[in-house]
Amino acid sequence: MGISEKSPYDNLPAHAFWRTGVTEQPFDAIPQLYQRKFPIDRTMKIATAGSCFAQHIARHLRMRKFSVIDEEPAPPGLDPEDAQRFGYGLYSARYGNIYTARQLLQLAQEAGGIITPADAIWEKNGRFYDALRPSVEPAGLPSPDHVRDHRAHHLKCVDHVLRTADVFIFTLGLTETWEHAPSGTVYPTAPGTIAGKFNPAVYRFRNYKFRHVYRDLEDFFDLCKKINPGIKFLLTVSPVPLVATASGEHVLRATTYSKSLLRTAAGQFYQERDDVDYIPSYEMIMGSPSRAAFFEDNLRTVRSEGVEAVMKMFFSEHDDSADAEQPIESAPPRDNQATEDSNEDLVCEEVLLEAFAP
Amino acid sequence: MTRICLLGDSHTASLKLAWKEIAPEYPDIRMTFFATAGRYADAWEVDSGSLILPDATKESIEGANNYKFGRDRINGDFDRYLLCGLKFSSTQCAPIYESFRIDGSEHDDRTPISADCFHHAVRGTLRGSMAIKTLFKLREITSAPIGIIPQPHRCGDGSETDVLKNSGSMEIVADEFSRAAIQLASELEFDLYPQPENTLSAPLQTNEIYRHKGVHMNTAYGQQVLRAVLAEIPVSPEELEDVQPSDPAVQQPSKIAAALPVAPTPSTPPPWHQRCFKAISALFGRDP
Repeated sequence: MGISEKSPYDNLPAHAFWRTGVTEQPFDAIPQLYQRKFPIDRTMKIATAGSCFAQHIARHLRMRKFSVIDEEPAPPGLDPEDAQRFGYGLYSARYGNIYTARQLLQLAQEAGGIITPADAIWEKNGRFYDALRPSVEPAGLPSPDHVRDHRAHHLKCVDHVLRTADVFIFTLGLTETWEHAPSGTVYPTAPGTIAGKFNPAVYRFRNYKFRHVYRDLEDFFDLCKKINPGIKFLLTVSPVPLVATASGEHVLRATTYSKSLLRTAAGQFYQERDDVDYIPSYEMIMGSPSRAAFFEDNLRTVRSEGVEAVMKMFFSEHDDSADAEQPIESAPPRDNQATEDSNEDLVCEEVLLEAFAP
Repeated sequence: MTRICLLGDSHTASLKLAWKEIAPEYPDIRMTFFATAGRYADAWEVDSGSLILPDATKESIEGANNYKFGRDRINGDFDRYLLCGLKFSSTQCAPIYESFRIDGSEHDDRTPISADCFHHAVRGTLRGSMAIKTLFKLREITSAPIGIIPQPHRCGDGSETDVLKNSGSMEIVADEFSRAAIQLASELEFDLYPQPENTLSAPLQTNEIYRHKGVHMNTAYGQQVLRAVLAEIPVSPEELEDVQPSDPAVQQPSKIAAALPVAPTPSTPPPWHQRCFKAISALFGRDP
């Protein structure tokens, strides 16, 4: 390239400049904020996991009739509110929220039989909880054996998710976690919050650094690729601030540290790997263009308009169908059920006629 | 005189046939039956203080079955309402226990599920039944007490029963069904009339001797159920003399009663016991 009098910025597109890329654009639909690296369509099996913001992603994908894996469906009859309370339908398996890259890696390793987490069952008031997903059984289970039984089934499902997914969407939420010091097992909640007892001699606070998050994600990608070479990954960073920090810092500083670090890790993988894409939900919600308009008054809860804006951005690159906003169709009745009902109807008419004949 | 409206699906048949035989034992009770096959049972609509079947539904019933309708309007002036069957049933919960293994059952390929979650699934299934939907419709036309008579358990020949037998979970499932039904009755304030114990051969199984056809039970079953229900219902014989003749608009059944049978309509207001006999006569075409 020869020497030129032109600035290297002269020929850059509009989105490269703040004024034309942001100031002059609608804050809820900034053009080219997201440009897909690879297409995702309705034929692909999508797995979702992550912090609570990831629940919105799964829900919207389902609403748009994308094929979101549900390896642990709720029992029939359970109403949606109860199903959510028992951890059904939130993600591709019933793992509850996965806040850290370490927690995700730990789950994948356990499902693959590589590790067995220690101290994985907690007790409270005579009931027993899966410490690695304590919220999915709000009242716990009657014995540690029941917890093991349920977990064994869950791990089979997780393994199947990882083996069959075409795309794995993961929302990075936190860098802070609680760890079983002797073994390194990490938990989604601090001991004593939902179940268990907090013993500072046994459990310790961890606030991961960039190198930890990067290595954990890389190990997770590698593990998935071994059992499912074609899998691709889509990363997002949850814009939801920390509800509390145990780091000793102000919660706003702690939030900024966590989110910046997670954003950096996601960005680095986006730059380094062809099989990793990044959805800028964090920028959309948390960035100055929105002037916090996407947050509720508590400045933490993301308003539905914010979620919709993020998903609109995502679908603008992955879904151009006109009927994209169609509601979810209810599952068709099982074939044998339909036949059964139809046969029963015939008998019903008959017995009624007999009974009501003059 | 206590006037009871009994509304249901095809499981109403055994009760109606039973009432024909036991009505004389209950001179202070007058019972009017309304029934459609299950697939039409959710078509009832609230209309000016009554439940009615839309014309389109009636046409489709008549067209398909050559039925003639009796009374096709349920007024809100009965002393008490009973709902029968309408998918308020342990059988409706079969898809849950066929795929999910409740804690305490023997291990098999089914997905483990906590008793708590199972309970909520059963409760949700019952809450979504046509019986509860009809209960809400009735509440719009009456403040009278409403009771639910669940659909009888099967006689133990279905695949779902095999699952329960093989996994040793019949009692657990029966307990959860019972617990969920009772909880729902308390929450929605209706009277629950569980299947009488003496009609069961196992916790979720009706004794074969009560089977009529398929999942439907016979007159003897209907008698057991009605006796159990009526034992719980207070009657008001002192109000007998105030009872007026039935609605003159009510038609007498001419040929076949139908999906919707008519209520008895005595031509004059005779003494209560004669009225009762006449009612039965009107329903069945002969004196009992």
